Amino acid sequence: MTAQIIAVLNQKGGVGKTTTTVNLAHALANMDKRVTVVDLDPQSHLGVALGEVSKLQTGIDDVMLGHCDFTQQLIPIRENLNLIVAGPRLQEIEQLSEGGSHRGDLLRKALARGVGNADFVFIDCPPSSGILVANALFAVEELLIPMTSDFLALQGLSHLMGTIKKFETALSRKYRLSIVMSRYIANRRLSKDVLNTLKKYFPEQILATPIRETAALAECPSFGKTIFEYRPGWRSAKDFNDLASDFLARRVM
Amino acid sequence: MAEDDESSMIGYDPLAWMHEQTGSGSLFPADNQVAVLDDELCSEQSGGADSLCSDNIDDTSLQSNPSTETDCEVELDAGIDELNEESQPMDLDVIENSEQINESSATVGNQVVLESIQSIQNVTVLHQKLQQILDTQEKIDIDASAVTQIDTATLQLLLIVKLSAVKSQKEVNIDFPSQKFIDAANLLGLAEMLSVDQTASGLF
Ligand SMILES: Nc1ncnc2c1ncn2[C@@H]1O[C@H](COP(=O)(O)OP(=O)(O)OP(=O)(O)O)[C@@H](O)[C@H]1O
Ligand SMILES: [Mg+2]
Repeated sequence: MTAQIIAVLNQKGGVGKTTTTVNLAHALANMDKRVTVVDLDPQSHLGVALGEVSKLQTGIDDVMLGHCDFTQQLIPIRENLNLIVAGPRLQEIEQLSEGGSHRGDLLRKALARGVGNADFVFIDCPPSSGILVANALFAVEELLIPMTSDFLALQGLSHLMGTIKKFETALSRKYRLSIVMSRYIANRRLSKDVLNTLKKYFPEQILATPIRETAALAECPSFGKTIFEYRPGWRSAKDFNDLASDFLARRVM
Repeated sequence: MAEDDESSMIGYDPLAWMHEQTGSGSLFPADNQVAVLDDELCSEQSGGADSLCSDNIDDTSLQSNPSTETDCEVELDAGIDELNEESQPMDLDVIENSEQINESSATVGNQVVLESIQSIQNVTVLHQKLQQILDTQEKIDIDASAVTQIDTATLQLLLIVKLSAVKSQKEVNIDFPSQKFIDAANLLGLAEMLSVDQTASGLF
């Protein structure tokens, strides 16, 4: 069977892309799904959050540059969960400013050569609107957008949707798009207003379980642990388990 | 709509453009004067983070003050904080040239292609062109890929057109902006409001 490839995307920084990628992936792996996560951010936070800190380890950089295949770069990092790190040369790819129209296609071509036998591949995108994000948009058919519930996040989403629509027009296809409410502060009125605004524009596209803002989720990356290792049984672990079920069953708000 | 709900904590709905609805009528006030809109835009400027939560930020939630006058002098006092450190200082002065006024841009259907040099000399014609399209169409695509020089007046016009269009649930896209266009928009702190970014630039 072919893998379902999903870009976890939002050009706004700090909205929970990496946290969502790590913990949703681990939740799915715990449900016996075969999952691969790819760090497309030169900051390398995804690798760090999973405890892989080597600066020399090559990853998706060499895959995109055509030096090796995707499957050669897989690091078995947990049971059922593989990681491809960013690699030291990813920054160079982001900064390639010349070279015209072929730069956007590096990731798509690399993935087309095969991604192994995963059920799901999640690509953790950087907080920018540059060439790496363009590569992700060329390469995938499905987008998962983590959204915080504040006004500037809405403004940022408007911008992002403009970009997405341009790609849809240019590529003559529509993305399958889901939103995950992230860092959600339930007892704040603005959160509800933002959520209601989102429901209006994205009916049937917001996954049913919001991920609440908690201290434990902020703490676990520094230990290189997912929430299921750092605080199993706590409410954030439950949030991500529920989110994983939502994701599989496509249960929406 | 969030704006219609008096108790809403959201003043201005940035996603309004996504709802394709048939609006009607002119996007501009009766007199069609850019200057009048400029005054409106600037008189309500508040800029502080607090204003984002107030009820009346409406479409004036700009991150910087565009100049009230269309005299092409770049006023950066409010916008300077927004400056990207890497952005090149650039020449926003109007070039003294006598371009034919009706060559400011090319129009096909709902598409407008900006000329290489966009300045106050051709801003009126561009304004009329955009207005005409928006009177009859739901959407306008402005191709900014050829721009090598653009002044404050033109950027202001684009911003005003975009903000007015949002109000009437129409869509204004700035496509494939050139690096110069992006730099100029960044310099004035207008890049986000104009939804200018590089993702789709030069790739297709
Ligand atoms: N639900 C949450 N509760 C508490 N802290 C959170 C939550 N989600 C994310 N964080 C914290 O917020 C910060 C930003 O989150 P994260 O790195 O996942 O965002 P990101 O979108 O990947 O950021 P970037 O844009 O830099 O890649 C991190 O320190 C993370 O630990
Ligand atoms: Mg991240």
